[in-house]
Amino acid sequence: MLDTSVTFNTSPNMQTLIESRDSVNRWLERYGVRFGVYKNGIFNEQFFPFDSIPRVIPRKDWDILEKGLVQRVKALNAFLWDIYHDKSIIKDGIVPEEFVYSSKGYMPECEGIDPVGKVYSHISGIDLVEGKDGNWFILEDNLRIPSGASYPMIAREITRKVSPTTFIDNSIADNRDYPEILKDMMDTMNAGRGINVILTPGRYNSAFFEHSYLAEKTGAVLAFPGDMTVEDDIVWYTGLYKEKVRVGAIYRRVSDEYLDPLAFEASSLLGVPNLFQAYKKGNVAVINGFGNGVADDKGIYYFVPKMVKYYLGEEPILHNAPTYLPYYKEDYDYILANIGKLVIKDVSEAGGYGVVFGRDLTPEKLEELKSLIVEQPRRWIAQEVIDFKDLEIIEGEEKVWRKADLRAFVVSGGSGDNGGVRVWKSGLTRFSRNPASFVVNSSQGGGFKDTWIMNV
Amino acid sequence: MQVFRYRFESRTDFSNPVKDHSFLLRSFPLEDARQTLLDSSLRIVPQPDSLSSGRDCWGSRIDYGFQAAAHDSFSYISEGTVEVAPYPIADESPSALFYMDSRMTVHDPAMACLSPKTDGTPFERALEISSRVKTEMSYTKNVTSAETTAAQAFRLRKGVCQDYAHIMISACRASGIPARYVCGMIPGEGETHAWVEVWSEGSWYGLDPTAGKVCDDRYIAIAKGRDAGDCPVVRGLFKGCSAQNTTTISSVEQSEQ
Repeated sequence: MLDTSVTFNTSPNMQTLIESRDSVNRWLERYGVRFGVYKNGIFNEQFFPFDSIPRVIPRKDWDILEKGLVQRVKALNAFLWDIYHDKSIIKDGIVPEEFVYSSKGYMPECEGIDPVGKVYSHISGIDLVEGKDGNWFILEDNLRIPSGASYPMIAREITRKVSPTTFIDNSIADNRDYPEILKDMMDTMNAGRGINVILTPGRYNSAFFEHSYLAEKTGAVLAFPGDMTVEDDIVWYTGLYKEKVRVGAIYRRVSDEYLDPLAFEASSLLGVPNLFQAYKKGNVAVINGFGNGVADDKGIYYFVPKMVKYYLGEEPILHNAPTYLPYYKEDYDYILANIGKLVIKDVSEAGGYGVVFGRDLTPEKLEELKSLIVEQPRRWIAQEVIDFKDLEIIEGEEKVWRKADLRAFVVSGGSGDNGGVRVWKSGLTRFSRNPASFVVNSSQGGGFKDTWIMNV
Repeated sequence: MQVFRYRFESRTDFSNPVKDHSFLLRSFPLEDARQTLLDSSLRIVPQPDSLSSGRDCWGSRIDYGFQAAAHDSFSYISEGTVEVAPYPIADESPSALFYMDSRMTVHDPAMACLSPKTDGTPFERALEISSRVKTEMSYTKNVTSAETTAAQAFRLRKGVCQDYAHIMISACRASGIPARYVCGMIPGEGETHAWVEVWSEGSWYGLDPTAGKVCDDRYIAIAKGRDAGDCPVVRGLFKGCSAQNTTTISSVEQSEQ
């Protein structure tokens, strides 16, 4: 086992890699690796800066993470099936029914629908942080359209070219198999032997680079709104020469409410009309499935360890950050008494928005927040602030320490063992560039690093 | 129990031809404990390339399809015979969704004046809400749209049957009474109508806040849901640059049988 902090920073080929930061960033810029953000109605594309010091995860730590992630995602898929069918977890009193039905992500339209292979969350982006004590905690589950896999993919592609010996001399797990994992899953889920497509909302989407990159790498067709029609409950793709081909799997990067304007948001021009009916008949795999938002709701997060026990009969391997639900009397009292040291999250917000640290608020603002919690207890969760491990990054000429998290990508519905669940031996490590900030979401102006899973 | 001949007709004219037209209709009477379809047909002009049918998650019949070739109008006629029983409809436990605000019926504190002042069964309290809605509102066309929410219409104190129903649903749910939206037809000729079903002591009852009365066996339901957003009678998406004008007429008469 390599001692990461010492060996890497001093070995000559590590030095080459670290010094290559600027040239890697230039390559990324050339490839158009950007993400777009809407702010005040204006679309801005931002560069997502790469930091060349990798996050290194020793094999023994990864083995635990991998097992825990597989377990968690299996439980989440079982939960989604249960919620849209028997609802036994509600009947058995594990999850209160109002948490399910009042969740914005719950879709009554999905009741009784059997998605291909019973898989709802094909691609799960699970966000974790490593505590100072070396324990990993789950921050949130992203089961709708988790983005970000393309950044570490392309960064690795480039760093391998810039500093090839680094990857020869160190035993780093090869992460170039993500397209293969994705393609295997799409092929396995594919209904009616149609083609695989990646549906993008278009060039003004924040993750357009990723959509086109993944399509290229997996051999799927990059489809735009208007390229697909539904006839007799079958989805058809119309190509450049007006030829029509059947679609068997759609890796869609359009959210549920915009995906079928005849079934959901009528004003949407991003969807495929009557896609939902074809999905209902089982004639097409929709990746990820409809209605997943109910399982990655910040309020439901609290119950995920209970789901692991309930559905799998196992002890959860990975733990949540200590979380309190004002819905429960005991937690409610605790939150109001300790609000100053907690982080409060609005369950209806995403992307790092609606996250408030009690310690940053003035006494008046704290009282305001308290009254909001008293008014609408279901809308909030509170968590202990985890003192997570800082990672080294280069800022100008010096090395500084910044907060970072890790998004692990778990793919379900593939052909392999373990119920076809695979964890990609990589992930997106995001860091905050602001030394005082604990929020590392890319919408909030952070950067990213490569994540090395060691082979030994 | 009554038997009706119904005819539901809709025509959309496009100022310029449109193509690749996908559509989804709700045009059949619901088949449930209260309504039995004796015969029915649906004709669409022009004849679509594909036509499928199914049910939505609330049990309403849907017909949907696709028409590739350019066309400058789209019309359909759904007609048949339906046998309708009076309310109530027995139901052991209504879905939790009918207790909660839905997108178009989010409760507004301004509606507090609608809450019932007397005790009684949920049905009796809903009846009181219904008459309060009728008193507060004045029936006015063309001030609200299909997208208007309960709170917006209540601020105006004006609207049509859809708005009356939304406001009543919002007030019922705020008072703990499960309520759902119904879109349907009533005897005579005109546009579709909307009313409310409330759950009380093991059954659903129909209340019509626009007419200020309890629904009987002359109310023919087409679609039900949390609010009007779950019950659009026609939706379509096409390619083309065109203005469109849709007229929908339902006619219902008592059958001679």
